[in-house]
Amino acid sequence: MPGALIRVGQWGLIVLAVRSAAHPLARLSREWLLFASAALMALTLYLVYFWVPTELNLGISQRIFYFHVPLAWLGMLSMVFVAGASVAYLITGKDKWDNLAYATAELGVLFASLILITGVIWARGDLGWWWTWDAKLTTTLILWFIYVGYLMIRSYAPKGSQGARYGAVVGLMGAIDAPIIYMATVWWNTAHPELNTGPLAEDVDALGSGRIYATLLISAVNFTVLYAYMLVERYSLRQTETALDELYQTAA
Amino acid sequence: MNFTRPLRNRLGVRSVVFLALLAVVTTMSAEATETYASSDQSDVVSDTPMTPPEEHEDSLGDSELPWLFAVFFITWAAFFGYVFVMSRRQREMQREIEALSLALQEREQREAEAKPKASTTDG
Repeated sequence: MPGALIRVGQWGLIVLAVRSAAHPLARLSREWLLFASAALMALTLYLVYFWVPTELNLGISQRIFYFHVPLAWLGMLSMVFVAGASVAYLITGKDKWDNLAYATAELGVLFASLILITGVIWARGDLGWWWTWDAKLTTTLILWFIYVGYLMIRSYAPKGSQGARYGAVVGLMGAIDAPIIYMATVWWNTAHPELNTGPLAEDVDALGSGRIYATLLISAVNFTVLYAYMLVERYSLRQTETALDELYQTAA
Repeated sequence: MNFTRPLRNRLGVRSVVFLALLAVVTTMSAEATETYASSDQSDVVSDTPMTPPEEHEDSLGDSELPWLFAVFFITWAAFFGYVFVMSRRQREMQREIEALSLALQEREQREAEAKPKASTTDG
């Protein structure tokens, strides 16, 4: 019996080693993503600080926009990923979908926190207040709570497929919030500026300059590459964590 | 670049790249402060007609810079912190794997030693 246990353990270690060391191609793509995001970030910083003109009405603090909007886009994207991966997990029951949902939810907490922090600071600098309970801000805060709730459920729920199923249901329900956040300025009167990015953008002329568009676009690409890098890293780490948990359970 | 090796070994490549980016952000922020302070504001754009300088001087002044830098600093600190935590967790897991591997080897060795003894006792 102990011999069989040892063989199971060794098999587990081989799985772990393969997963954590990762395929050379995957490793290479990770490094490329990291260096691409570093290069793009240097370019974005140059554009934001030196190249893009200052918007007359909002002043220098409008430059927060080049960080705030891409962060918001990626926060929403995380919610879509969590929901998509949760559906895939509920249908197939494969661990890789659960790992993807978990990794994107964790990134979602990071990005949703940054959306709120950058938005609050921008509002304070520009409008003189930190927070107001209007629809856009409140639904974004709800998004943050959904992500945190998802991670809390995963921490407290039983390990294995049961906890993953609970998480998948929460992730799926949370996805309802993403379109509400996007449409909040259309459906309600809010203190938040109108939509000037995305498919329903109406106020595109308010941005005023082609340089503003270009900077926003490059900044969005930059943050998306950085997001992809962090997602690949976190996903791989999550896979290793899951394998290690399984190994401990087997050995115990 | 041998002088960076201890840093790379200690923090990992990812952390070093993020630290470098943080340094770039800080340097650029300092540069930008000087640029705005000495700017003639000729590159200002708006969709509304130009207002006299005294009307928008305040909105373009130094008073908003701390907010801008606070946002950039917090964003980068958060990314750096997250990547740092991830790489630390990765190293912890690597240690756990090594410890587990060692424990398994010892167990296998003990089992191998116990087998001949058991067979001689049976015989």
